[in-house]
Amino acid sequence: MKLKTTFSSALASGLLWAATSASALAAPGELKEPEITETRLSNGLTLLLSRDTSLPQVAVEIRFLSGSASERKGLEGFAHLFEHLMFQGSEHYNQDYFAPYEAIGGLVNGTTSQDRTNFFEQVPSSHLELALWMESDRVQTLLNVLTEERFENQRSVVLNERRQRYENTPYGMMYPLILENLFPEGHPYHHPTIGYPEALNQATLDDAKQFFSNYYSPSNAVLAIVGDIDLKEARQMVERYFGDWKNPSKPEQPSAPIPVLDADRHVVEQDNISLPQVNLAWVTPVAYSADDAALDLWALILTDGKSSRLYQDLIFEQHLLQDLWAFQASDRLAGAFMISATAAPGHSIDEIAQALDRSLEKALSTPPTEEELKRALNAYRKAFFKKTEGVLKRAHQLTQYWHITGKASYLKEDLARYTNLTPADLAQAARWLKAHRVRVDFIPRDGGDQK
Amino acid sequence: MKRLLFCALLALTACHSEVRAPDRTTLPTPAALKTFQVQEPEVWTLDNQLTVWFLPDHRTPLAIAKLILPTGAATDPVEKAGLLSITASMLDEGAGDKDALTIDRFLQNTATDYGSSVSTDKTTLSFDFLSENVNSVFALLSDFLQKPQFNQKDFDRVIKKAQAQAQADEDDLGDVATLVMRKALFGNGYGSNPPSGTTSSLKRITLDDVRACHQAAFSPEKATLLVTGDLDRKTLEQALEPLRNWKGQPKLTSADVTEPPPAAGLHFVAFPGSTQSMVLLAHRVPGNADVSEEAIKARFADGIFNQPFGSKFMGRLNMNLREDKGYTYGAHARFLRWNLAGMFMLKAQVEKNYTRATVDEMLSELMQIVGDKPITETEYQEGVDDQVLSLPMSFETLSSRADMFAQLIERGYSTDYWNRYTERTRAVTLQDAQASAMKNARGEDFIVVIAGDPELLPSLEGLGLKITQWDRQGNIIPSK
Repeated sequence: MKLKTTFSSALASGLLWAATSASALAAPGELKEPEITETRLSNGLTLLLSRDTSLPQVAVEIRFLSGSASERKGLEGFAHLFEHLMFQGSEHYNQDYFAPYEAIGGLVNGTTSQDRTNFFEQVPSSHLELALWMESDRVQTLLNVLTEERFENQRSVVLNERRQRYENTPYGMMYPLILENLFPEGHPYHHPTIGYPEALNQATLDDAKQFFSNYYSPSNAVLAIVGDIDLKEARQMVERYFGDWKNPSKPEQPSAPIPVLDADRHVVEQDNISLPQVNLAWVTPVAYSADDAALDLWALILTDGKSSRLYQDLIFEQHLLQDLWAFQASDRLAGAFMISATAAPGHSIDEIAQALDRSLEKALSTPPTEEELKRALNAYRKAFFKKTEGVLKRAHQLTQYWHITGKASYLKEDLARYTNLTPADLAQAARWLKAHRVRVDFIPRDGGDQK
Repeated sequence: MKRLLFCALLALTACHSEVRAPDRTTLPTPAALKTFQVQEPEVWTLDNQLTVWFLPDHRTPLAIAKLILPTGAATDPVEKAGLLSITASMLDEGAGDKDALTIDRFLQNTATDYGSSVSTDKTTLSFDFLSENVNSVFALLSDFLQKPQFNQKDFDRVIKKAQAQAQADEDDLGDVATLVMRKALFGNGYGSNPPSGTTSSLKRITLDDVRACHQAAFSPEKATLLVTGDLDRKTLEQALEPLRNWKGQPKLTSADVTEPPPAAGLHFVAFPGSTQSMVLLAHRVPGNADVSEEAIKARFADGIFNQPFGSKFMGRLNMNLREDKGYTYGAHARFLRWNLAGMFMLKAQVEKNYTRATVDEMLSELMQIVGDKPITETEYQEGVDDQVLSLPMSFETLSSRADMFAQLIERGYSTDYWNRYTERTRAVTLQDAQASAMKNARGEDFIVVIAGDPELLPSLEGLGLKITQWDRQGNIIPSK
């Protein structure tokens, strides 16, 4: 089952390295909203605390409210490159930032998406102070020790990441091509978070200094601590380590209206693949809007499981496709609904594209049945219980909710976006998938005889 | 006014006195470490010899069940590699009185995620479900095991999809390099079969093969059902009723390990135009079958050796190839063990122009850790601490807890394994870890597998290794 995706999870560039009758449907137990304390330091840093003593573990996440959408033209990919630089050492810990965590059974990493860059750790709760010491040092003193050598090294690492995850992997250029065609030139989501080699090659150490000064400030950040903590003690530690963080920058959040395509767009890309693939994408509403939830459910109704509408038609009955999936990815400024269909051997790109169009038109012409809707809702109810497991997952959830909705306590409200939907709501939301769209085809290079 | 100001100053002072200035001269001293105890499962055996491991967990209204069978891809005939995987994939295509679509609707209606997986030695059927549906989930599992339909039309669809996936896998550097590594290390013996098969092996599998495989492999004796979640023992016992009629013994045996191990050599598979290469270095290691205390101790020592060498981000391999040279997005080394054999493998996907240099650097790192740069006291201590302190994280969620106990079942370990993990890890000495390095990091024992642009071949000839070229289905291409 493929559930809710944001651009953040679909496109985030990590530093490192899933018949009974409708009346018999399950009704899982009540979801509990975790208790959250929200405060703001005098320097503007927002702090979210949530206590969970089920394991002696604690998660810390600091999220900066800027990502690749904040990059200027010519510096595409810089926010992600800068995320890498944040692990290269700080004034008082002038070596690789993985080291102290890997000596205590900790987990440390960072990711970048269009709207934000986050850095996070999960450590034994006895080591909370270490995590706060480390995070607070790099956000204040990184530039004091950032060298050309470190900059050049991470430029190479990021270029290799781009090769490994995009250029040199089958169908790897799908997301960049969809974004470039779905969002017009000048829109903050037009370019991919991983950026472009020419822009990455032109970036300088001075750009890093400017980027850090502009975006790595307490007013542009939210810090979440979730796990086996004493709330008062944790708050005092944060005051101690982050209280002196001085950077007055309050960068404006990028803004842009949800774009409207004035015509369909069709891109054909040759790739080192055997099986052709058609990808369709539509501009859709922002994260946490009502139609956003409806489109999440449409993704399940269309392609999740053998009895879903498109799967049953195109794979189970017609045997035209090898693989099929759909999801609604949404973030602060817009969303995108994507369908990807990979041909079964012997079927051409045109054959599967036409069949997909016919099947989709039919599928969207009828509202979901009550049973289809309840099936999809059950999947989401279960997924929400899973969201409450794991301190790091919850820290990430808190900063995400706070950033996009303005409320850290949003879990039950989020679930209600789904449970309040009716078949008529879904029928209304289907209009987004009847608008102009982007089609990205992948066809085998040189006729496909590469092996 | 003055009085108010004074009070305000006092308040500020009081507030400020709670916030000590941070000491940046040294990393903070950790607070006292809290103890961590792993809940061990209740274990019992049904009359049909099916063993049950049960771990109640009432944090969410969810449950997970994993049926782990003691038969894996090592029992597939080499020419029909993928047979067990196809057989497992056929179970939800029709069972009892339900056809494939009815089963799918049942799973969807009950928010049950089902999947099957096959590894070298094991086959696992997994259900992730709302605990209130436990009776219907186990009734369905019982049908999968005792009443599969195995219809020709469903088989035709499943086998074609598997063949197409195998064809798509041939486009992936990592998948192909791993396949060639298995074949180069293990010939046609134990460990060589890719569990999902190849395009050619899948073409030879028939529905009669699937029926025979199901009869021979899917039996309760030596199988274990792991259940964890929001259930009590009484409810679970009642739900297990349909499985009590399941009978039989496993009749398949694994292939033998081919001897001797392969000589050092370079195995190349062509990806024309690829801008990166997948570089693997590997040699055979003993498997997990020996569960004596001595054998377990040796495996713990292997883990501590590999901590500073290749399993961590800060490991020597990644620090050299990524953080120093910038050849790759990441490099690591790992022990991969099955029952009868396994491998120690170094791996990095690197920029094409640094392929040869990567092999040189990997060999150099191996030479150094057995030569003039042995494991240091700090590396050893940090490796032990990391191994011990990272344990609680693995028991955080229902699914991660299920995975941790499934590992014990797969390896034949006792239920107290995780509670003895710290003691066994701390019993490893620096000398033990270095002895593991001396055994596992001898450069001459390794074979090299590279998937990349054939333009690289002249630069690789300088390594002085015999070069064997392979196709993407794991067949040697005869030299001209």
